[in-house]
Amino acid sequence: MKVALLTPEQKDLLVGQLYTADSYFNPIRDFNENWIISTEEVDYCDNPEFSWVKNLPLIDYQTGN
Amino acid sequence: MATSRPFAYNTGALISGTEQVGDIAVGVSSLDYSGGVGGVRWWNGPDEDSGYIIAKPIPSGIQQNPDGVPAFVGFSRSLEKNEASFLELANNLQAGATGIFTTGDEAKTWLNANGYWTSYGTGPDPDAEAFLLAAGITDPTITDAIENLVVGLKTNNLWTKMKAVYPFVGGTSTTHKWNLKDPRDLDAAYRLVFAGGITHSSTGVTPGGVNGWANTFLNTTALTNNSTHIAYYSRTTTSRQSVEIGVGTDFGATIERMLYHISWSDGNLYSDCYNFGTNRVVAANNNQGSGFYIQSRTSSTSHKVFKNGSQFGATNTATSTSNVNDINAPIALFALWNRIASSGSNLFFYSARACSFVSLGDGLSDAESSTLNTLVNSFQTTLGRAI
Repeated sequence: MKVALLTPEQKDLLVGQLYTADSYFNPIRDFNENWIISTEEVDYCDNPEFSWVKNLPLIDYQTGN
Repeated sequence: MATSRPFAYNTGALISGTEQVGDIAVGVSSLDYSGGVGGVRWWNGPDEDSGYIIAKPIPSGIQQNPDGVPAFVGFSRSLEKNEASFLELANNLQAGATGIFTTGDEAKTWLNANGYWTSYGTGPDPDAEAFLLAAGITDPTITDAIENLVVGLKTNNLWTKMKAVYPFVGGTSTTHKWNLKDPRDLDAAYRLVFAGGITHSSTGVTPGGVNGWANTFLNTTALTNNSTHIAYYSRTTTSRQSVEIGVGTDFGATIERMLYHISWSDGNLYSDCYNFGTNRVVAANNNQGSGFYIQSRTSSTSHKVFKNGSQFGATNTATSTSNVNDINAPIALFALWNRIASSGSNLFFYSARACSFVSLGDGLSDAESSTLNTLVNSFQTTLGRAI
């Protein structure tokens, strides 16, 4: 499973923001303490203010399990 | 276009093409009422879309009207088009002539018996209609499914046991967020707020398993202690470490939780309500994780799980020493909301289990769980998405 990698600064920009109607971004830390969001948030984002998420690098999702 | 119909004061015989309640004739056929059908004066009634109408006879003929002629029919309208608002209107109208009405049907019966006509009960169920209006749904198949679900819940005395019902119809986050029990766009109405990766479709909600969840804002303190249920219609058969509905507290002397792992990575179902571990129900070999699951606590010594209408796993009869007030946190969908401090919390175990229905509320008996299963499966079948 792939997820999109954020910098801490990018994470702060997304907290509390909508990526589409009635759906908020939810940045979380992966097992390696990276800030990440899901590919759904990237793909479904139609908020022009955050179109930049579509250019985020994708990494493998590490859960530690 | 507003919904309205013609009315007349008729003390004579029933007029063909109309209905009669007391001395009030109501036009039901496509006649030219302006021509004085039946030899009486017809008046166009008020708009019925914004509230329920009560038409009342005014035998003195002093009802005010634009034409300044004697008029013998007057009207009242509830402020909102729901049962509560209709009851307020009806109770004010009867002003102590009888006891206080507690249901719309009770009020309607009295009104009709006393010569009043009302639009209440002449159309769709008001709660179903309010939900569909809020969600902006007009699709006839969905409308019928919601109507039948609501009527079925009410007929079987389950409606009042529900605090929140999420039917997930309409296919978008905007239509899926509404609580069928209280379709106001408020946290206090337990309207959902989605966050993270979630896919919405005609079959319901599919959390992505990374960070997608929904806040119900339904704090456990709003539930009835030792009488609680949570229900989840799962479309997914895989097993993983996830929580489908979850809330808990992980500080203090006791871990207390109310949650479902429908099919944990070991293939077992785990249901907690309320003490973690002590009051747990475990149902082994639930690798076929799809189905309709109901967790129900009906006393301090009875915690059961039902799958597709039948009890699943053994009853946990260990005395619960905890209660919903101890957890004191909002219930999360598709994850576990864990209160880790008096003012802190965290989310764990994000689910990837596709969902077509959730309900939260009072405990359900074996029979009630079976009935809910029947209603929900009928609902899904009508929508063409039964598993």
